[in-house]
Amino acid sequence: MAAAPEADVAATSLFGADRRLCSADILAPAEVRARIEVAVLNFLAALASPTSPAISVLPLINRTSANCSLRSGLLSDVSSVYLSYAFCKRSLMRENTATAFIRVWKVMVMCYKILGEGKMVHQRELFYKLLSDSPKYFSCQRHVNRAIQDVVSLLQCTRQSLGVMASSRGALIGRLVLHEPDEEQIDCSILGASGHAITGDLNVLSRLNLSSDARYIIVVEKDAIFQRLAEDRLYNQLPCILITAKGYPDIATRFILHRLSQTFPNMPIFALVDWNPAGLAILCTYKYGSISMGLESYRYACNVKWLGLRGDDLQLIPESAFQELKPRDLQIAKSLLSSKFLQESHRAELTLMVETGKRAEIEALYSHGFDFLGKYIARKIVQGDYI
Amino acid sequence: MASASSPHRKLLHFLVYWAVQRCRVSESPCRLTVSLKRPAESASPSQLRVSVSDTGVRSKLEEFLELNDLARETPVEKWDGTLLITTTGINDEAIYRYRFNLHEELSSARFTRLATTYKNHATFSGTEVCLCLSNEADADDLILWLVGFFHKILVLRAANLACELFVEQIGNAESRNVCLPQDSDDVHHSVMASSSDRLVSGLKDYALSHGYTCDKCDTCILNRDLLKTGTGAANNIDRRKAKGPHVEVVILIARAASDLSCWTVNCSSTQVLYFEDFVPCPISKSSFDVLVSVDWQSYGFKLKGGFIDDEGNAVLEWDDMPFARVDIAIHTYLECTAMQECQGSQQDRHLVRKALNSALSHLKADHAGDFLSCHGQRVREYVPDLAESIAGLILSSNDKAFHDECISLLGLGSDQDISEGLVQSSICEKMIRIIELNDTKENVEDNAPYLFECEKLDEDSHLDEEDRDEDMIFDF
Repeated sequence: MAAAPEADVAATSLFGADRRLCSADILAPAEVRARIEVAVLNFLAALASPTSPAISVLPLINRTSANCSLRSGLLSDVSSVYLSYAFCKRSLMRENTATAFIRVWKVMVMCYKILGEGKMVHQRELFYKLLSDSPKYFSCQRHVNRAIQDVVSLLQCTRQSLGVMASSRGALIGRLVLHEPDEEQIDCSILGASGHAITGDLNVLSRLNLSSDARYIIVVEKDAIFQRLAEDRLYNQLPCILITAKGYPDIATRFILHRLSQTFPNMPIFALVDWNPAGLAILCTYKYGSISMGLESYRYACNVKWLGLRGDDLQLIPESAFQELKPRDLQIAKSLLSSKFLQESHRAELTLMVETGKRAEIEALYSHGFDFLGKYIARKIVQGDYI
Repeated sequence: MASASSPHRKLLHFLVYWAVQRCRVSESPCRLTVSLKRPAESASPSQLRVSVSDTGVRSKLEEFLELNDLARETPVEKWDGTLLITTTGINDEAIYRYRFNLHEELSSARFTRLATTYKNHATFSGTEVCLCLSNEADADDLILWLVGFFHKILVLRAANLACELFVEQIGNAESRNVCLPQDSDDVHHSVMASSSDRLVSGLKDYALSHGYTCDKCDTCILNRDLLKTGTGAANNIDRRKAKGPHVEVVILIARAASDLSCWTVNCSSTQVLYFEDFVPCPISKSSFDVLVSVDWQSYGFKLKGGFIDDEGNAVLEWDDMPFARVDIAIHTYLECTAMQECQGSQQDRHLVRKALNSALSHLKADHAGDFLSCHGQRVREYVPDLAESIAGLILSSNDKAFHDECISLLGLGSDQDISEGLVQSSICEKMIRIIELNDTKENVEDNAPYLFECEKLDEDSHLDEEDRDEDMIFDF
């Protein structure tokens, strides 16, 4: 029972999607404080209501796959995952959400103070502040990170607007010159193998001037591979920019990748990930955004192409280098296969992974020699072997 | 062995039970006396002479036939199965005496009429039953049990019934009157007081003397006003059965008071007092089942478990009890105007449940904060932290308009120096009041307002905090 094709296009078009798209606003500190003040006033008003006093319930945008959809750009080839206006609630009166309820408030109060002082803090710092202030509610970083995302959903403003940054995790290197206004230029082609650390402060990243004569951007899943390629100065043989988040793509890395793609629209972006469902999931996060930060990350989706490792490359890998897919890998595969956005060619690759039950790491290519990787990448790009 | 199954106890219980019923039917002030005569120390064979007498209506003798089963269970050396019964009615000219022998095969031959005495126009009624029990080692246990039994009867404070217990040692001139009706500090003794009110009064005295394990405890006497009472009653009066059983329940709670040494330790168990037809009885299975299946959690009680002890009493064990004492009394009885209507209150578990719940609701209605459900208590624990955070935010703001509006919403007036503590306690109070108001109410959740307007709430979404992935990735 397919919907009419016109309706489909409309539904997935930018315009159709935007009506239902729920977005976190990028706000100035005073505006965020104002929203928090409204929250407090609403809460007190409900408490003090003469007719029906009550403890308000927190409505949070649902960050689940059920509430996510795909939007495709009409004029660009970038698609992104976005969240709609479906809410879940956190209530003090329910056992399983009471602690989460309190955490949201505690984080809101803390952010109010931080913004009032004109500061920015890292998530880790915030954790320690909350741990010392309210150890009963925050015993690990995870509690803090989730509570921050809840506040983002509640107030519908970005994490950075709350005064919170994630610590720097990503790095880049290659044919790129970074210039922050009033700072010295950084030539990323003459750096050490660990490259230039990407700051977690999105404001700084947005102010950077970028200039480059590279032809490609290569996103690398793992730090070890990044460093290998950096040491070999791949970007001198192949004019490119190498970028890594050292695992799961954090917002800052995605942000700068997006800026690069906007600044250099003719530079294709290639991903170099392990042959396993997790690697594909990382690629998808760069490509479409994530659900957990779905209110913000849709802005930073990029058209990333899958260079390797892929099914066709498996012949290059010795049998002994293959490993069994673990239950977790299968879980990820299952969830990817049931998602709304996976393109056909990627789906085929994933199915092959599941069917063979095997996985392999990029390092397996070293069996052909340490310089094989660079040649492999160059060959694939030149041959247009990417999906 | 001393236990509820001891034949001596069962026998005495039986005789007292019927004595009480005879007193109830007479509808005039009555006296019940039990007397035990112990032989002199050196005498043998040792025999305990027991007499149960009452000033109620004349006995119809039929009730004694119910002793059949008991007689069969009881070894002859413990009781020879004979009773000496003396009885007379108010309008009788004579006092009738019988020897009753349960071991007689033919029930018609059980009663042997003995010499009759004439009253010579005196008007009184009553019955005396005498019997001999073999002494053995458990005479002391029996007396101890009898004393406890009498104490429990006195808890009921039955109108028109005075009870006495005498223990005498033959050869010893002193006869010890063990148990007089207690003088109560509670002046609630008017004849018009309901049986429920009397039970409340009796249970209070019971609690204040630590279950009659001591004489009036001086410290505890002062605590009478600290006792919280919940009463509940249920019956079937409005149904077809015009005379159905009545059930009355009283629950008494004593708070722990730190300056009173007796009650600083929190209560860990409660022995439930159970009465049928104005006599303490072993608890029935159905009533016990009802007791343990009550939703104690919605009143803030954490029941660890329950069992029936050797004496047939229900014992409830509590976890984490914030109170020093919890006393529960359950009384089921039938109204009676004639002997045959008096006994055998059908165990209507629905009535027991209804009366128990009614008593608990009564407690909760009168003292909401103390009997908040376990869930409510857990929620309440979050309140100070939240209030503190919000109060801190309000007072840290340098936006005067915001600050003033918050203060005015809290109804704190426009004094210049409102402290953070005051704001915090104001928020606390309001939140606790809401929690108490909504405790155990259904559908409160659905009517709670949202902090911000939103389109639709996905009712089915469950926040499984712990199920979400460690690193929050792969959330496709």
